Amino acid sequence: MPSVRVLYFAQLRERLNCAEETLTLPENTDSTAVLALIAERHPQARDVIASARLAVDCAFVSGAVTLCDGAELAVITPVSGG
Amino acid sequence: MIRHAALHDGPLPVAALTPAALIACEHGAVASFVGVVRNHAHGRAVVGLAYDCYRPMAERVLAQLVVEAANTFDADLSASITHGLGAMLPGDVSVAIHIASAHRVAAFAACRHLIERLKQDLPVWKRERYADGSEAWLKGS
Repeated sequence: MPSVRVLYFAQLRERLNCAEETLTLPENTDSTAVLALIAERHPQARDVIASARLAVDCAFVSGAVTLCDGAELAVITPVSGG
Repeated sequence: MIRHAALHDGPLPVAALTPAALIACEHGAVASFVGVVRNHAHGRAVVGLAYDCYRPMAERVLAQLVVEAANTFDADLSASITHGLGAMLPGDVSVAIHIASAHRVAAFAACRHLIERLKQDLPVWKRERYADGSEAWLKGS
C-alpha cells in the first residue's frame, strides 16, 4: 500500500494541531473512502472533514482514485478566498 | 495576448489595480474586479484578516481558471488575476482581476466568472479578526 503525505490547512489544521502527516492508504480507492479514513483517525474534526473535498497532487479528485507512493493529498475544507 | 495568474505575499500593490498592461488595440473592452478587505462582516467590526493558502495548488488553480475563462468566453482574451496572501487590514486589496477582450460582453462575463470560480475552488482560507478580540475562519464564501 502506498505511503502518502496528507496536508491540512486553516481551521482543520488548527483543530488537528497538525499541518501534515504520512499515511498508508490503499492504492486503488476513492475520494470518499479516503476522507472517511482520515475522519476516523481524527474524530475531533469529523464535522470539518465532512464538508471537505480531496485533492491529490494539487488537483481535486472525486470518485475512484489511484494513489502512488509519495503522492501529496490535501483535505480542502470550504474555501474562502477573494 | 497576455495571461498572468499569480499569488502575492501581502496586500496587492497599487500596480496590481490597473489593467494598463492588458491594453491592446485588438481589445476594445477591459473589465476589472478589485476585492477589498471590508471593515465589517455580518454586523461585526473587522479589524484585520489573514489568508492561509495551499500554495502550489492555488497557483495551479489560478492558471486553470484563466484557461477556463478563455475557453468559455473568448479564446483571444488577455487576463490578469492576482490574489494576496497573509495578513491584511481593512482597505487593503486582496484580489485583482483584469480581462481584456474584443467586446464588453465577454470581458464582463469572464471577469465575473473568474471571481466566482475563484471563490469556489481556490485553496485559500480567510481568518477574520474582530474588534472584540475574537477571530474566526470563514466557512466558505
